Amino acid sequence: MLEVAGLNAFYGDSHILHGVDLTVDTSDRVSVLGRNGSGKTTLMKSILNAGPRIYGRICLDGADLADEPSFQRARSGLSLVPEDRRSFPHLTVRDNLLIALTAAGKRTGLDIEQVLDTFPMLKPLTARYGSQLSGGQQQMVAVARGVMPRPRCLLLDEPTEGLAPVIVRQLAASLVRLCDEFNIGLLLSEQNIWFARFCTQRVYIIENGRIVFSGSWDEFDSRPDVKHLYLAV
Amino acid sequence: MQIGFALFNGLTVGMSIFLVAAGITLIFGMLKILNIAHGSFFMIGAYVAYSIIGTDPDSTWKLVVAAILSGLVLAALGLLLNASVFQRLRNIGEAYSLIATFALLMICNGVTKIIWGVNYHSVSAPDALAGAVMYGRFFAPSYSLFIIGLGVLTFLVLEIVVHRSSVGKVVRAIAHDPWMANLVGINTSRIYALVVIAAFFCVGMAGGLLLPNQSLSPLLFESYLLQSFIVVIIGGLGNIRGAFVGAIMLGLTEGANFLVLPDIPGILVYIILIGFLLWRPYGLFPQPGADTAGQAGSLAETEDVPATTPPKALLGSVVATVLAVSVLASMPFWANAGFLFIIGFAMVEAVLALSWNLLFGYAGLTTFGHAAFFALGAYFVGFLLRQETGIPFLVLLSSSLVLGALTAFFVGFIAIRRTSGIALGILTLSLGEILRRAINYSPALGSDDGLSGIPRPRIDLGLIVFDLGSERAYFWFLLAACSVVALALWSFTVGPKGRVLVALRQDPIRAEFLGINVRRYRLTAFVISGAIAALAGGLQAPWAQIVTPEAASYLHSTQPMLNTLLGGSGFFWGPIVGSAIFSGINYATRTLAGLSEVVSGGILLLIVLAAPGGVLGLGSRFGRMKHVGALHKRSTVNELTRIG
Amino acid sequence: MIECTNIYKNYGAISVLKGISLNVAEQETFTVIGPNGAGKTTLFKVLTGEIPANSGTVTFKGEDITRLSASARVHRGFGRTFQVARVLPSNSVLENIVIALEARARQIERGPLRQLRPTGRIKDEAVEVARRISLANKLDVPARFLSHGDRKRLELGITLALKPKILMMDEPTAGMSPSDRNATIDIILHVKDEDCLTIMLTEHDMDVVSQLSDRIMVMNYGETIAVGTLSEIRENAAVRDIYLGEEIGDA
Repeated sequence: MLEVAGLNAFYGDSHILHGVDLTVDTSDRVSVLGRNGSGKTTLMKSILNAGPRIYGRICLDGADLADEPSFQRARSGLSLVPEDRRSFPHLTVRDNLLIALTAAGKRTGLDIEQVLDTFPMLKPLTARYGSQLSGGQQQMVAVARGVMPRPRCLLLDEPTEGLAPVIVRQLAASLVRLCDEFNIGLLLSEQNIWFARFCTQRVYIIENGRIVFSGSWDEFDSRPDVKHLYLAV
Repeated sequence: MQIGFALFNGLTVGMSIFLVAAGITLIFGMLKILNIAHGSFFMIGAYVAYSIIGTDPDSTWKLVVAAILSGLVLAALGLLLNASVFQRLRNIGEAYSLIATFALLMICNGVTKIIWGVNYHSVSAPDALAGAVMYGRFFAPSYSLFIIGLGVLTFLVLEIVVHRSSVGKVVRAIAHDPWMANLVGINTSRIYALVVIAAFFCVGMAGGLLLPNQSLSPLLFESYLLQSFIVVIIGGLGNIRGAFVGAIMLGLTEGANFLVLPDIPGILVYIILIGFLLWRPYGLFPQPGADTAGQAGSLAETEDVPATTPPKALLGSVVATVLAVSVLASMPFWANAGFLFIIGFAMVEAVLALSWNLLFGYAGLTTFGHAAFFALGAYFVGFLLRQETGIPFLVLLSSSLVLGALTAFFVGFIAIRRTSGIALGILTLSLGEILRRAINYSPALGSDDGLSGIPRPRIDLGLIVFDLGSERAYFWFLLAACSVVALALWSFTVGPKGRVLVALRQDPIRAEFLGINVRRYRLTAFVISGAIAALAGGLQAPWAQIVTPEAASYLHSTQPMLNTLLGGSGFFWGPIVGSAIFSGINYATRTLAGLSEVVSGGILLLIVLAAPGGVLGLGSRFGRMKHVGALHKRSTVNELTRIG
Repeated sequence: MIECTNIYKNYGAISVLKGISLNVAEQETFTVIGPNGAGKTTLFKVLTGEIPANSGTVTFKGEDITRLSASARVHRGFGRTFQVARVLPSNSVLENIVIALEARARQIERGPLRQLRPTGRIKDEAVEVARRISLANKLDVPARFLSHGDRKRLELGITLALKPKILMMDEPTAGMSPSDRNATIDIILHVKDEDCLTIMLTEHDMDVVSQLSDRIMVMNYGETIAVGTLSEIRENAAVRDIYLGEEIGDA
């Protein structure tokens, strides 16, 4: 469904991604692991054409996205939840979710009540403004907003950063349930290996802007050298 | 009865202002650009409508149709400017977009003069609106009722669109996070364009509808500009509801001014505004849970900070400085009188700009009223020289320095405690306007005409006497004085104090947690800056031999800002380079009436769009690109060795 | 060392801290944990003087400092690092440290600040600080070009340059990869030992919490749920419920 081939990305003069290849099939759930500064966030943003200068092929369902701007990529079914969350501070939680339906384009998005059911923590907060939420609550809003348009592929950038362990577990459960129920593909960038393992079936490891490993979690486990070298765990 | 009438008039004024301010609010709310040129677009709207209906519109309908047509013309202009200017401004800092819109203001005013000339026109209200409506003893001019009705209608339409509709939610989402808005599928560029077009349509229509209310001339741009800004600030930036309430308050204040201070029109507004800013620095309606910390931040870009240690190759800088000063010193021998005069002005303006940049580039404070300190010094020295008091000139200059410092201390002590960011900017702007108006209505200070025929002094040092009576002599004195001030400022900024200022400009909270008393250092910078600005005024008075209230006007306050940003606020010498370029442009275009504004505005705009970061910033940007490249290579190598 | 009693703080209608009291002993490492929105960061802001509390008192070494500004608290020995590292982005690593050292020198003596350039002594000291935080090879790099982990280390460095008596750290390992995280723990343990520091921190990573803390306080919705050692906290049913959940595998 989502195919990335030979992706190079630049910030100013800095060459961040060097020929990244990666695929996410329909309803496939994939992790990207790597240290800080390895290029995870740049990869996520590049797929949406939201910041870095990019060269290479990014195809969604066979169609080359070429130089489509981010809002059009969002409408064709890519949904990015950035690592800094970015819930809209001056909209209520409900409006934060509803506004994401713009990205549904011609498809139909999800029903807001359904989504709220999956994130029970948000239910009592629907009338609060984005700016009145704590970090963890904002993260929930951001993820919920991300699934609202029922994307073909959800891109989550380090969603567990700064979350309490108990909330990490809740998030993992909600996420898997949503993706299963609505056939949403997932590309997850993470530092938290437990979370990545729980949510996804396959894993890529990125280092210095290059994919240095790809395979199933079993294959990953059979390669302690990879774990040690690139993740230092 | 009189009170009722004054208040009713005030309300009319308030609604007129709201019609102009609505567009500023819309554009600021969305694009985060404070469009200084808005008053000029209002003026163009009025002229367009005037071209359509002439001086005697015979029916209300004609007036309305003309207003709509001029709204459409302006909307088209908005579309054009959005694509050519505003879109680019979104990617550069707030401060630079401010100069860009100032450049637009100059261009608009020049174009207006070229197309419609400089004469006054007066347009009468159509017959149907020329009368009055009577309610018992109270009568209201129909035209005023018409304006009030329009103001309320415009407000209701905008209020419904922005706060009650789904469009409004999209608009608010973009206003706060355009990047994320894009990611949820919103075509932000289109919404931006629509907002700009709407704002321009509003202002064009306002120009047409308010046409019968005033005399039409190329000065019209000023009449609503400042008030609209005030309204926008009172309301909380980018907030339509706030702008509406602010406009009513301002109008009523104007009405009250007419009752209590009829001698000095327009001053009460500023006094109340200052009180208001100290009371609520974030406006009437800060958004629920708004990130006030962000708003309180400085307008200065953190990208470039000036160097805070002396350069390693000190010899080179010394040679360059000596060379520049020698060239200037030789000018009286070869330059013509007109050119020399301009250079003298440029030197004073450069000092003024240096003092402004001490606040902006170093301390991270943006003030819009720096000319007030300048005028203080200029009037002080000019007045006493004319009185021939016999006080030695150097004593006069030092006193102007002290006067500036004291004033800055009192202003800063209160203002810096309560405000920062745009609120501080507007507060200083208001103080400047109060001073200008006070001077304007003081016969002792020559009112509108200012003080002319200021004699050039002698400096009697006992052993030697310098007679500065001749142009040449005073020029040398000016050069020496400006050089000493610049050098003193420079050594201040490259020392430990400069490092403190740069730290608190980049991150006041970090500075506070380094144990730096942020407020005290800001106040120190404010006092030094005010003192030097006053000294610059004192130096200029005998050079120009005339001081006018214009010295205190906000237009003069923009001069140091323009010079600084043009040269590059991230460099100590930036303001001087900017002053030189600006004076050069002025000198080269001085004979082209009307066109000169277009040309200098155009050049300014080009520089801002091509070189945000100032002229000096261009050079360092190339340097930095190399640096980043090298850095990246190095870090890659590091990573590799670590893994290997 | 630092003590606060009955701290209340609200932002408008939302009350964030509801009567927090705590007492940190000298050279203790005291960690505050809790779900997001529990009020940990707000508590830090109140203790360090960044924002005033609505009521309650803060004392430091017996002195009431409730009304003191942040910089005045720094003079008394507070050092503070932030969730998102606050460094001076346009200044180099060396300049960042020099500015901190000069800020401290200013409190003690005026002499070295009369000349324009930083004195040789201050420069040497700055290089020494950079070495302690393993940034000695990046002295001339502007802070904005540093990686996330390096920036957090630099922030720790400029805070240490102030020679604080108590170090207040808000999520010192936030956003770090496991390797950076371990390096940071090492540095913290090391400097605590060398400089005899009292440390107060907030943290989410239970690994980090267990390696650093002497005592832990658990907060939820602006209230204290429990205070105690790591094992006491782990036993606490309420804490398991709101924060820890079931122990998570190898995370």
